[in-house]
Amino acid sequence: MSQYTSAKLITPPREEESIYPYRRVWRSLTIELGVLFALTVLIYGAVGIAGFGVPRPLSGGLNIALALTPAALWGIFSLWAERRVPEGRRHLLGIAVISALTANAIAIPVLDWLQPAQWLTFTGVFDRILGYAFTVGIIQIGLQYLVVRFITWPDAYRIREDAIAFTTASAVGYITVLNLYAVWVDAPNADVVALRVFTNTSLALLAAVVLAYGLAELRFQPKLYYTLPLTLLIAAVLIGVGITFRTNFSSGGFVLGVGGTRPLFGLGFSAGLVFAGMLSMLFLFNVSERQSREAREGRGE
Amino acid sequence: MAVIEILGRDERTERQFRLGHLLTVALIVVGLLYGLNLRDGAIFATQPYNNVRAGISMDYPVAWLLDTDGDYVVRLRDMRRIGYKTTIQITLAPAGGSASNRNILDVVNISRPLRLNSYDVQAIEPYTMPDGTAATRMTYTFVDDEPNKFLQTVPVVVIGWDVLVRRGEQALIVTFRSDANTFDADLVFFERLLSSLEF
Repeated sequence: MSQYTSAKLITPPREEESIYPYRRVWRSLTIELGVLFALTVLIYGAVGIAGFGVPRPLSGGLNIALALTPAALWGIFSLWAERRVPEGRRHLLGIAVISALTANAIAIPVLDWLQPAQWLTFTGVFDRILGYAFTVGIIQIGLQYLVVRFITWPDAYRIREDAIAFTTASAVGYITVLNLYAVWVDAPNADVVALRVFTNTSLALLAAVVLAYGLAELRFQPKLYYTLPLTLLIAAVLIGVGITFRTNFSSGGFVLGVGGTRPLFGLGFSAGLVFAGMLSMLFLFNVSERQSREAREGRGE
Repeated sequence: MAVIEILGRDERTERQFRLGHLLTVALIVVGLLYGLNLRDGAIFATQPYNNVRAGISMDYPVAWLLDTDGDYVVRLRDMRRIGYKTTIQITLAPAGGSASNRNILDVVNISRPLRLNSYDVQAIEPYTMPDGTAATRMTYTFVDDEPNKFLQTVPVVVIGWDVLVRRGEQALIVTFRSDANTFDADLVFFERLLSSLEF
């Protein structure tokens, strides 16, 4: 009589997991923007809708804390995370600090002199977009480009995502100073500060990612050298579009009696713009990466 | 997974890098200049004004409110301002053969304290128009207060200039008034208007 024994199960040899040696910048960006958005909704809901009053002595401190929140989130989810990966990126803190200093030393005095909000308020939408793009936008993105270019170019770029890490570091440093300045000058309520910080930061990060695409293309596809100026122009116009429509959406409509503002429309617009913009840029980065890989494979490298 | 590219850069690549950065810096410079041009266009855009009866023509800021219903030839005001509305006003006054510029300004000074709070003449001195014509300039200050007390506004100190030019038996008084805090910044509107003024 035959005896049957159960077949021995042989464990297949484990494939060695390849460790991705860099910080995943898209994940960091998503977490930072997500947490910032959640905080904004929470504070707006508590102060603006539920009517939770912030004691006057605490108001200034809370506003400054809110203005520093994007920098803190970036510090935790980007800068600190960079130290926990085998091949961390260097210069990030330096880029952020120098961008903050240039914002304070150049951008704020120039924007104070230009006063775009004063002369653009009474112009049409198209003129307003161009006006903001070629004043606020070009100064912001131009300074960020110069800081990133002189600190990192070209040897710090190993993969395309490096460009995102550098430009977003610059954007965070720059926009933190502008947020602090806005809080210092206006001293509004916490819910208004939260909305302003989110809209400013998300727009700055989106523009920074667009600029990063141009830098990455120039570094890895130098034949397309015109991509960098083109993306810088798009980033500046994007800032112009963001500021113009955010203001339009936030303004009160024509109502009988006292017309209030509609800050949630502005928040929704900013969140939608950044979500759609980031998805588009992720798609473009992936396409470029795939094309580079296919080109290399085609050459047999 | 991303692939790390370690490439030696040849001269052609370096040239393309330089070209990319050069174009980018050029775009930043051109963009800033375009922004400044847009700003100048929005702030200093003008439209012509002609008054055949008074024999005056000039270019005035587009967004300013033009008003001819008063004891003046024309009054222009920047209604977008919060607080005191920056004003340029042109008035004609009779100037007899023996009346000096000072006499004409003294007549103006008699009536003004009745209408303007804390009216105070600071200086009367010679002035040269942009086309080289000799004129007289009177600098004065007053306090502008909101007549409606329910609005609870803080009074504004206003600086005014009256530039008086003689034309035969007439004197043309071009008045410029602005909040003392923004006077220097607003002066450019007045100077541009004087440059275009023909009478």
